[in-house]
Amino acid sequence: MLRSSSSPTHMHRRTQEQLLLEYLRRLENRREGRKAVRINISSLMPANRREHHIRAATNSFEGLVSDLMGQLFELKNLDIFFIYKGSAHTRVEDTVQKVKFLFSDDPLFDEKARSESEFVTWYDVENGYDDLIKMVRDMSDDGKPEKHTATRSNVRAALKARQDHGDPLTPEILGRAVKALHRTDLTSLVRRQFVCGVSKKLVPEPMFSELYISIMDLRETMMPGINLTSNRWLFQYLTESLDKRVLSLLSKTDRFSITGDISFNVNVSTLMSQEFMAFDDSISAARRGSMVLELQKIDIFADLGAFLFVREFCQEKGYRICLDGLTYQNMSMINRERLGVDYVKVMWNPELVDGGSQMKKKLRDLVKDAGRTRVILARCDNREAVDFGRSVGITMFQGHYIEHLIAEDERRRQLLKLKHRIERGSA
Amino acid sequence: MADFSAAYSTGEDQSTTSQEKRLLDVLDRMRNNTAGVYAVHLHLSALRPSHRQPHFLRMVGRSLDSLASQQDIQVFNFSNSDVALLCRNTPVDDVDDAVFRVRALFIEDPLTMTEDGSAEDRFSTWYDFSQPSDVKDFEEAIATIYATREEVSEEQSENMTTGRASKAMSGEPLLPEKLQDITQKLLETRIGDVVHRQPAVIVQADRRQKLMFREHFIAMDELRERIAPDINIFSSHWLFQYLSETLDARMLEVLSRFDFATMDVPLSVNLNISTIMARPFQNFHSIVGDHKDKVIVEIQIIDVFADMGAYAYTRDWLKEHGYKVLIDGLNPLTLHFFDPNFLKADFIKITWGPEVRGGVGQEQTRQIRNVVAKMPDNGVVLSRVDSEEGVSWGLDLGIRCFQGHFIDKVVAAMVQKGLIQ
Repeated sequence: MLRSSSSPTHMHRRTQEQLLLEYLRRLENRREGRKAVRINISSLMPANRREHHIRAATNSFEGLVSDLMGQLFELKNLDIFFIYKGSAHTRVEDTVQKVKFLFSDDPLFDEKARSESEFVTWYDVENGYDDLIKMVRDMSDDGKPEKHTATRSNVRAALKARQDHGDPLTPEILGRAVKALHRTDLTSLVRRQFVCGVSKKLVPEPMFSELYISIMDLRETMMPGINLTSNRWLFQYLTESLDKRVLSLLSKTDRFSITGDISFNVNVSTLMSQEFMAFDDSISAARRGSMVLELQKIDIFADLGAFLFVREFCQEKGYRICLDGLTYQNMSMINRERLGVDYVKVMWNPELVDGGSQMKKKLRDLVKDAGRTRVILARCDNREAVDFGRSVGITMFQGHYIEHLIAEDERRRQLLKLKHRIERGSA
Repeated sequence: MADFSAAYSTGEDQSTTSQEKRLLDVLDRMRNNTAGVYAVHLHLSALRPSHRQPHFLRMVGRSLDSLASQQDIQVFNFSNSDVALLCRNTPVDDVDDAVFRVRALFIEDPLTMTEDGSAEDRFSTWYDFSQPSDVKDFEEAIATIYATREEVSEEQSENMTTGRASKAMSGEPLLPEKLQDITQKLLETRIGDVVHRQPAVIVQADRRQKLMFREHFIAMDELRERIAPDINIFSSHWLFQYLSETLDARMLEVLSRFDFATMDVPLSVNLNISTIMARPFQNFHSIVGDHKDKVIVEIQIIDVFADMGAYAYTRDWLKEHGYKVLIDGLNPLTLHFFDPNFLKADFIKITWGPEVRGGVGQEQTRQIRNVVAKMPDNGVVLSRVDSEEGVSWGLDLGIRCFQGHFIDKVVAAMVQKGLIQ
């Protein structure tokens, strides 16, 4: 984590803020032409503030540091502070641009003016030395001043999150949302995405389709301005109500016709509810065999006993079970066969490619262990995902890119049909 | 809990006559007409409490329903959760299949670990009515259940062992509408006096014990009296999980008043990942100062699985600053499904519970031994140890660290003898 020149023994004793302060003090008589820049990682969405993001950002400065053009500090709030010689200014500007690019999908960059002022702050060390010292001293003091800034930045972060994503979901709003769900007709909110086998020539072959409710659309219809996913646990609670609505939708086939095998997300608790029993009664045994129930991984550890129980109960009735939402990390921890699920769904992540050949080999082994016909690679947004998946032995895919392939395939078929028709006409 | 039978009966009102009584009447009437009759008694009352909840039993009912509608079979659901099947001229294989299906549902329960149909099978008992002694035994068994049904209905479930949120509690289920109010009360109520501590010890090579850490926790039943006396705050995993974020903040307030410089043994505390990376913990962090090695942060496995990336980040941050990380919420059975070594924590905590009392299968024993061997020395803590049996069980598997009511007594004795402060 530490990238300044201090010896490792200092690591646990002094904070980066303190080291920065010391460094600045040492610069007092050599400050001519020095400049500084602060990259406010703390103003990004939490999802963009993970370790690998920070590492990527600090790595961009590596060249400058090794050329002795400047010194890098990583502050407690994850912000990056770089003090450098004026002669390197163009290089620094380029580097900052690169870092910005790393985070360009953060909502902060949706508005150019805001990202310019909020993400990067430039300092003139030579002329603004005293102010800078004061600012850094405030940051490095333990106790009160730090608490104060933390509070302020939290308020700001909360405000920002609200502007970007709507008001956070509170228990009170959740209560209202659950009630509103019963009154809302979800038919128009159901979306469908196919899980397909994909041939070498990128021809998709649908295995089943996942039915799901678009949370974005649901929010617009039911509770505009509320960020339904802002709290994981409250959202999870909401999904239990959502499950039941979806079940009732699925049992009313006259209003909602579905062809082929389908899958849908459902909580373990839902599978133990009266609503599921009623659903199960309403459908034929043959139909059960065409359904895949997608369970979330946290449900396993929320109550393993319940998980195993419903898995057995549902499989016995003919349903298939898919464990949804796995990442590379937790896939390597879970034993599909022992858990007794029919499929596991792993989320595509471009980082898998960055992992190099070692990661690839590991993943290939994992896929082999889980069973090649058991693993679905989901969220495939581009061809890279499918190519990578195929290279590690995965045979089933899902995501925007697959939808695109289906559309392409459909278009090709239409053209072919047209061609035949023309040929027949001219014959 | 007692009256689940009504919950999945087909609408007829059975609350007036108990099912035990009904069965006894039926048996009385068929006394001279027992040709081709046999009975199967499913001892569901001997399942773990966590498996005896209404929704499980409802599903058992459904598994048997189809059987009852096709064959000359009567199903009786007793107040203690047991089920009896009374069959006449029904192919044994059909009934056997149905019993097996129910059995398979509880594959994880120790009750089903005895061999199906064997003499020591504790899950089901078969009675052949062509044998007068069988008829008599069956009648007696039912009469016993009938006689004790009152007591049974009063029985309180013991804790479940997967995650703190599943602890059984009476009261109305927690609903989102009440959650806001409860959270507010939690913020305002006095909390220091409901924070309890429980020691964990290491059994050393010479069998002598050494204090390892003291877990600090909030006694939820005591707290509930203050903030929500009539509500089962554990009724929804997710809502409790939400509440626990506020609990964390209050807990850290209490811990922040401790003098870490003079603390003799490290403390451990259960926290959400979301808490650790936010203000409540960061404040605590500055108070702990140079004594980070005296703090063990316990993280629930469910929290880990909810977001592995966040966990990895938090773990590294904690370790880098000198804290120790412990993964809580595992039990011997979870180890069968995943290997906690991947989590790279300093410690894992396994719950010793009723499911392993009386031993687990060889395969599972091997698995646990494996996990323990791969963890760092003293990296596995066996918790909820309430008897010496638990300690022996753990020692046999290579576990050296223990926590639980039994350990509390051991430590109290050590204090009396002046072996520890």
